[in-house]
Amino acid sequence: MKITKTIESDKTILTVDGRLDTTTAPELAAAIAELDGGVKTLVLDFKDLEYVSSAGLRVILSTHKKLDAEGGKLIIAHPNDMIQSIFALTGFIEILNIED
Amino acid sequence: MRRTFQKWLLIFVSIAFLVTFVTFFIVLWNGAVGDVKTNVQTTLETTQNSIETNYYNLEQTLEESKKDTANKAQSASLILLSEAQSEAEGTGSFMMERHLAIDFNSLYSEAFPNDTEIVTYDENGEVPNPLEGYSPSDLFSDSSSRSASQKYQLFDQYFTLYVKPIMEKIYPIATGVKATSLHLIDPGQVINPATDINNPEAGGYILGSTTIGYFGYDMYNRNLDSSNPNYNQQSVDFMNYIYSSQEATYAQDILIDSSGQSWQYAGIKLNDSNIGVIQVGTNPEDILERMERLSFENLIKPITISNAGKIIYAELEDYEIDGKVYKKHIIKGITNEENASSSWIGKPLEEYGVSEEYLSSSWNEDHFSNFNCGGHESFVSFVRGSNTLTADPSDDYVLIATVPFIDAFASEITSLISLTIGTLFLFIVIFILISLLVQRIVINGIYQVNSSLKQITNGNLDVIVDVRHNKEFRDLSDGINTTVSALKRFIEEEKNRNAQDLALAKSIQSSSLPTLFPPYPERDEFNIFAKMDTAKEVGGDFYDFFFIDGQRFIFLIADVSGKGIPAALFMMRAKTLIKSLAETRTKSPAQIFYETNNSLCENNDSEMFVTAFMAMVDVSSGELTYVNAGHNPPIVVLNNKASYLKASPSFVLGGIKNFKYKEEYLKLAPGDSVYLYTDGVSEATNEKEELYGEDRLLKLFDDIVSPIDDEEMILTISKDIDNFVAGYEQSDDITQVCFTYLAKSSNLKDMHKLFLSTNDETLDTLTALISKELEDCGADKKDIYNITLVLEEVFANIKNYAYGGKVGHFIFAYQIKDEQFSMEFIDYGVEFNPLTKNDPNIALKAKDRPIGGLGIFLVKSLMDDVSYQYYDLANHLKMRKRLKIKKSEN
Repeated sequence: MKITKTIESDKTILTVDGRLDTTTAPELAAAIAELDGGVKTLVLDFKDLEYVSSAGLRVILSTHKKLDAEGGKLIIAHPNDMIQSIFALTGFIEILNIED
Repeated sequence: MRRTFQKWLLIFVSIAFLVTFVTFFIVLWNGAVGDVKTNVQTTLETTQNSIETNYYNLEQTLEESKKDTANKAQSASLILLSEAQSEAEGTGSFMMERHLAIDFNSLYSEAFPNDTEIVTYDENGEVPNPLEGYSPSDLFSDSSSRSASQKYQLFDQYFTLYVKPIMEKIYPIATGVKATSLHLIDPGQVINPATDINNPEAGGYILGSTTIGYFGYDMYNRNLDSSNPNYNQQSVDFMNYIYSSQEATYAQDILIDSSGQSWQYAGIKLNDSNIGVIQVGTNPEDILERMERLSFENLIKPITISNAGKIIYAELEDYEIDGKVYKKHIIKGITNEENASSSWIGKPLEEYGVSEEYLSSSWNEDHFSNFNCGGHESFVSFVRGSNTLTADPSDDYVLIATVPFIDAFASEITSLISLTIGTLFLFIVIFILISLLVQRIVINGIYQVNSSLKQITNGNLDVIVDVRHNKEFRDLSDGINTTVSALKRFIEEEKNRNAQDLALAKSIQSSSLPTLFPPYPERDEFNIFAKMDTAKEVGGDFYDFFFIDGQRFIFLIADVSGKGIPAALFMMRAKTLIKSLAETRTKSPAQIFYETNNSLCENNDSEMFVTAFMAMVDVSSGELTYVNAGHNPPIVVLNNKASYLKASPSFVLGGIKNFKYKEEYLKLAPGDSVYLYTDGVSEATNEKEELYGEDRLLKLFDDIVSPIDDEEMILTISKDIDNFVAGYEQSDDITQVCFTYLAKSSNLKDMHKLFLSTNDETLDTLTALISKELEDCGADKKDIYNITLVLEEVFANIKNYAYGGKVGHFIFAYQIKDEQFSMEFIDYGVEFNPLTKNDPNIALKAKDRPIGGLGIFLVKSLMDDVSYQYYDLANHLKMRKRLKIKKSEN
């Protein structure tokens, strides 16, 4: 899995390529933890993400919760159909800010 | 080798040097003696020649002197004779004139030098004085005024009174002699030089002389007795001889008068006249001189014979010792005397050290001997000689030469020393040169060859001997190299042959063992893995496993004593026996061993034996029956705990006949393992000669999680053994068999079964595998996604929770059939039914949503059918999904 960080004036973008599974989920968690505190808007760009499993979902949820508590925002960008359906299945679709 | 050669060379050179030295010494010694002899002889001869030449010379001179004086007499007589003749013939005034010419004063003083009264002898030898009362000065003094004629008269008177009476008495002719007959001879006018000319007339009276005092002198000394001190033997002899001699002239020998003056007289007889005899006297001074020179001191003194050597001149003489007189050789002269005060002169030669015997007898031919002369041991030689001058035997002399040894050898010693040093130096140089030369040519070459050979001996057959500095060594090097090459070739061929035999034996051995794993893929009741690492030589280990019927499975391990082909053959026998007996299906393990043992005991000339452990397991129940014939007790993993299986030891197979083997029982639960090994494992040795040991082996089972992966376990153990041994040569076969019991029954028919560990890699492998399988079937992408997602969730669950976080193993079975995908996860961990968990409330807000619980929810949601069972000590989670198969485009 490859994570690319882009910092824009109003948001930080983490582009996640590959697979977000039990093996790689900790990497994403670590990358997010590394971000400076006070990140208002974090965008997780999933345009090249093939796959997400429950481990990935956990990271996403906890990140969402944290930012929410801090007054920030988590945006999930460009998830593919299958990931979308997982989000739907698990009800994450209601919780997350998903941008196509 | 260098040392030996140098030692011998040194010995040789030393001997050569010594021989040379001794030769030099002998040669020099003889040379010295020879030199001394020659020196002595030569010196003696030279000295003797010198002496005798001088004698001869003197003789000659004396003869010549006589001749000379005689010639003078001859010439004087001729002159006087002619004068006398002329007087006799003619004038008669000769005498007178002569007389008148005389200066009376000088005549007087000459005649009467003492101015004493005229004295004369009478017939008694007394001194009568016819002119008594007259002093000569009265007669002849200058102050006298007498005239010449007066003086003549006086002289006549003198003659008449004095001379004539005597003459008349003795010689009648004398009466006719007149005063005028006297004549004074002027020697200068007659002969020059002559000191004395006398003219005694026939009667013997001197009438004419150069000396007035001689006038009237009676040459015959008739008035005197021969005992009278005034008796003049010489004049008497002269007169007697001249008148008896046939010769006209007569020369006397030299005489020396009282004042030390030497005289030699010669005379001539004038027979036909009254003139008588003319006598001439001369002073032969040079003769004296020569005689002086003849003296021994002057002749021999300058001769040197050696540093301290001496020439001694000795004559035989009477010598008095203690009152008795002996005839001894007395030293008359000796050269080279250090101390003039204590001279040897006058002492007998005997005292000096040279014996009389030696001098008088005929010694050795060359008179060469040695005596202690004056304190020095010396070489001595002598010559005898005679005094040719006197021709008197009593004047015979002996010349002795002495050369002290020290002198003789002085120069020799110097020569010897310098020769020795020179030779020593030479030989040292020779030694060094030869040493270096041989070193260079031979020894270095030999050393190099030897060192190469040593390397070859130590096993390095690739070493080339390359010593090429001369032809011999080139040949040697080439010879050795050719030999070594040939040897290498033979060794290679032999090795190859051996290797071939070995390979054949090994292939026989290994081909008889089951090596295909997994051996029963369709059976999932157990896993088994076996591995044999053979040692260099063909060993006697073997293992075997086989089903004897649908449920009963036998696995065994064995170790034949010995190595090589005999062991391999024995092994084959044992293996075949066991298997064939087992396949009868009617015999228990103990029975099988009993019969195998008996069979092996027969025809066992080589007295080999085999240790073995055999287990028979009913895979449907897990019941295991085992028997151990002297083999290492196996490790059993029961309920996740490893330990050595206690088996009552039985004797080896092929040992003693009719041995009753005892079998024992064990019940295996799913997940339990049995690990068999041979002593190649426990006795693996490292460099420090430590053994691997049973404890170390058991320790590897410490952190295991049942069920273990048999292959993984065996490989881990092998690796650990390798690390321990660290390259040290393996001496024995290392054989291992690992058996893991899994489940009683199999619902997994027709399913692909995988025995996997809970490592992260497994997930990737599994995912990749299933993805591909589904893709190949033409499954929908979404289905693939969902199924792999479910795979991951279940896997994660097992990985994280089944074995308490430790890495364990699980069985994954799957099947794609009739457009349906089914899979089953079987893990032996804690009993856990994931389906009992409540679904998460997906409607909850984010902050209210718990993090966990999603996994199983997804599983349940995404799969068509999920079921869980716990049996055979294992969790079984089964899932099914219908696939949407894409129809392939045509």
